[in-house]
Amino acid sequence: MLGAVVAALGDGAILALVATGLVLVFKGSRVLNLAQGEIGAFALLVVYVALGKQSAPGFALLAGATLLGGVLGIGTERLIMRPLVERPPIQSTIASLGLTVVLVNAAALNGTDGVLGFLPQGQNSYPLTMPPTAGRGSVVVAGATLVSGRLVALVATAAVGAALWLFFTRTRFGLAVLAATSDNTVARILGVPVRNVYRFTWGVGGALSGLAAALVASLGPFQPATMTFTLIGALAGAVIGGLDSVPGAIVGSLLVGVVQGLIKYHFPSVGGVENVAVLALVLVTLMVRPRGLLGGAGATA
Amino acid sequence: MRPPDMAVLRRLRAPAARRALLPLGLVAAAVAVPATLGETQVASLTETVAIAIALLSLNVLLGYAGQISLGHAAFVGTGAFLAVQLGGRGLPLPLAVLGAGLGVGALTALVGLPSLRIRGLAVAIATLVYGIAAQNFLFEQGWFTGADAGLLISAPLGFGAVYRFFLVALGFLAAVLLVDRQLLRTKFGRSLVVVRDAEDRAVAFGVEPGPAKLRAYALSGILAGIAGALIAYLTGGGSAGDFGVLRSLELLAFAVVGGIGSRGGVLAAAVLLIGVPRLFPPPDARLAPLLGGLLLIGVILFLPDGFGGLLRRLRVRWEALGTQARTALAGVAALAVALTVARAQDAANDAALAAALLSLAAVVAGVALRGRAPALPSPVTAAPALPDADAAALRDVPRALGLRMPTAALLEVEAVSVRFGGVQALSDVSLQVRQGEIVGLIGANGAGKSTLFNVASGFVTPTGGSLRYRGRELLTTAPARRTELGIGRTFQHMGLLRPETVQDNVLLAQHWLARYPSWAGILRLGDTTLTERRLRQRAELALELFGLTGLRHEPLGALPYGTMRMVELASAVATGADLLLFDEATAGLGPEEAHGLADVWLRLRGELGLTLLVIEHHVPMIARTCDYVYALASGRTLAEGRPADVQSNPDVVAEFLGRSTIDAGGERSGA
Repeated sequence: MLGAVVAALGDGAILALVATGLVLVFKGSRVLNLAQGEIGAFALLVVYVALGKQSAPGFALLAGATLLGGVLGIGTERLIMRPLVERPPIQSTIASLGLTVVLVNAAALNGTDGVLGFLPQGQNSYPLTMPPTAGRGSVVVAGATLVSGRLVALVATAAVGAALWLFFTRTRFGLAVLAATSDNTVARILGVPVRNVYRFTWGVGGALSGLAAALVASLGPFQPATMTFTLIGALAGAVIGGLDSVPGAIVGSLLVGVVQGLIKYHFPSVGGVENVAVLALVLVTLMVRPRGLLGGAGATA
Repeated sequence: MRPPDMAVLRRLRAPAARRALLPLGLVAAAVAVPATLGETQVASLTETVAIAIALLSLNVLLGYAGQISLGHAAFVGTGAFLAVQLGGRGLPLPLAVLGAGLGVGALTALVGLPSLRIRGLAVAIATLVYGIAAQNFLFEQGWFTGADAGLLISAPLGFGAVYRFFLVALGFLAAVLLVDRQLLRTKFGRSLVVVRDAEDRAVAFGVEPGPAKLRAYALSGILAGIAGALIAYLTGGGSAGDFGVLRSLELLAFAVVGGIGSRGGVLAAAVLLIGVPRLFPPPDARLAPLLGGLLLIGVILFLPDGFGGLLRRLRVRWEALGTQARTALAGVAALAVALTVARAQDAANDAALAAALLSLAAVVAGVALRGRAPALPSPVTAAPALPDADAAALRDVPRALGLRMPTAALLEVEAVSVRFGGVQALSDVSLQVRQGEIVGLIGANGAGKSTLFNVASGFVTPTGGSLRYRGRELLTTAPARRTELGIGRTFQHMGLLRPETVQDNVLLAQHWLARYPSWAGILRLGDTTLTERRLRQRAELALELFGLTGLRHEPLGALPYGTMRMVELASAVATGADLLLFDEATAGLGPEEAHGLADVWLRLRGELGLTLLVIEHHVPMIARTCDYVYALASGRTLAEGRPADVQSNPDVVAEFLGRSTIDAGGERSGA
């Protein structure tokens, strides 16, 4: 039971990485980035091919996906989101949906006869199993085996949380980001480089997405839409924690992970029932505490 | 209310009965052309029709109510399985389809419940989570999908069955389109639009935002359920994969490409993005969704209004062409259509082919005739005094006798205090407005004038004091209900909807006067039509009062600022209020316009017998119109009395013109 909780925390930590990226972008520009999962998935697939598919070293996949995810995030901001800055945020949200569709289907153009050839030699349909992107190890915690992917996820989430906290409280640019995300008109008037802030939030969001994709791939078979399902869990976590709060996103995602894990643990035979529990959790949170656990006034905007 | 006056209504009616030719031609073509096609193609078209209904359902939420559904395919899928449950147990098709619709309507209202408390994306995420829960759990459960009970449904078999079922689906689409059109013409749709664009202002028109949004969720669910049921009958059931999260996102994408809020655009999207690829499949099936995604990004970047906006622009261009040019172009189009159709057919069924060609000819002719004499909006006219009968019609609202009797004090504010955190916005302010008076409220910025208005209309709850209207306590009355009692208001910042027309703005101000239930409205039941006719007439009278009749079809946002202000006043009058609160009605007006406004105030009192409480900075205006003036400073009553007395009151002079030295109070604000 305790072991199941710890393992579930690991899954929740992956959701938390995605949710943190979502919240950063949402705070920055009021855009719900529906490509937050697929940017990382696509980055991972490209790095996987570039590094020689099955012979790719696991850690290089992890680092490469994080890096390329960041680059794709910045590219998305520059090419798609910046022209839409003056429009209602819903349009950017829909554009990010279009990007998801493009990335999923670009990745799906595969196979031996495919254009992009994401799949390993001799395989012509998803899902694919990558070399263990987060190592092969495992530790036993309270009677449950915690594979390294979940362990890395927990450590990475803690590190990302701490790094963001230091960044926002100790650095000048961090303060600028905070200012721009709470009121970007005032921030612009005060001389905060709002455009750099947008680029920064999209870049960090993309990098976190790449990291999360590599961790997801370390835990099981991977296909393009996998990250969209991860994204849904992260969205639930972000709503429960408060859409405009990074700590809220982390707490909410861990909660979603634990609830999903416990339900799966207790009802192993009923497939999908954990999603119903998450739905109930989201609806109850929204009814009882619309801003989410740690959200501020901006969470319901 | 009095019966509608036909003479007033006739002024509203657009000419050109021939405009009906195009819609009739389209209907005929939709029926006749598929009769010439093969069964597989007809089945594809049936699917297109069902998805068109699903997109219209999404459009109700997204376009009219401004709510995003990220799980719409799951709502459609729920409808499909409900239809299997109902139809599989022997319920006839129409009942099973409607039953599925009602079931999904209840479900979407449930998922939309959080929208009562919050705005924005969080509810959208709730729909997404429903999508994933349905896909991975609900749609896999045998008891839900009907697999356990071995339930099966299919459209009635037999010769021509595919085509007949297509007609059934088309019939449902026609009904949905009629409901959709009626929605925007009745209070249901108007309440959605005002809640979407100005939720806090909606309350001032007597609209309750929460129930309005829930109704939108329910209606959208009903339509989604109907779409799902049709798909279930078409495919003999359904599978979880057909209604997954990715399909939901795809539906949303199609709706946006079609054009948010545009009925024609959504239909165009269904035909072009579903129908055409089904009829003419691309060489590589995997390319289609990729191209779809690119198309979506491209449309967002370069065509923000989607196909609907494009159609509108084309239509304006087209109607501006001369009759001959239109006829020539339409003739060429007709020839091209005829050649294509003739080539595509093996002419096995001459009668069907002839009917198809005939209907297409009607469409072409309808398009050719679609012209309009250029009508320029006439400017604001000097409005003659409203005849007594018309004034009476404007004042004639269904209000209890007790709320119509003459009374001494209409509004009594007694020792009202308001505190926002550490700021004492109002302390112990008392004020009285007698019937038939024009009472002015003056004071520097931050003096508490607007706060006092917000207390009166219920947006702010005071921390102390009492508020009576016609002797009854107001503080316990919900804001939306105060409109019904007879309190109308305008806002310092425009409280109207700029994209809507002048007439629509005045119509939505009359929300509470439309006594028919919202649902009866969209089904044209009861006295909907009669009531709407009356409301249009009242709107017309209100516009006449302000000399705005020539602008009734202009979008508000296209008008000069002063004219927009006039429309706002007309809307407030149209609510049938006895007491009007005008918050800085002259803000942004030139001296000429402000002078004209003073005349309007005096006419509102003289011709309509209204009572006015106005916040005003324009001193000549106060002096000319007001019977009594209250001066506020820092949340307290500084002075009150006749305008001349207040104007010469030394405290008021000091407050407005500044003190020579900063006194112990420490404040020094200029007017």
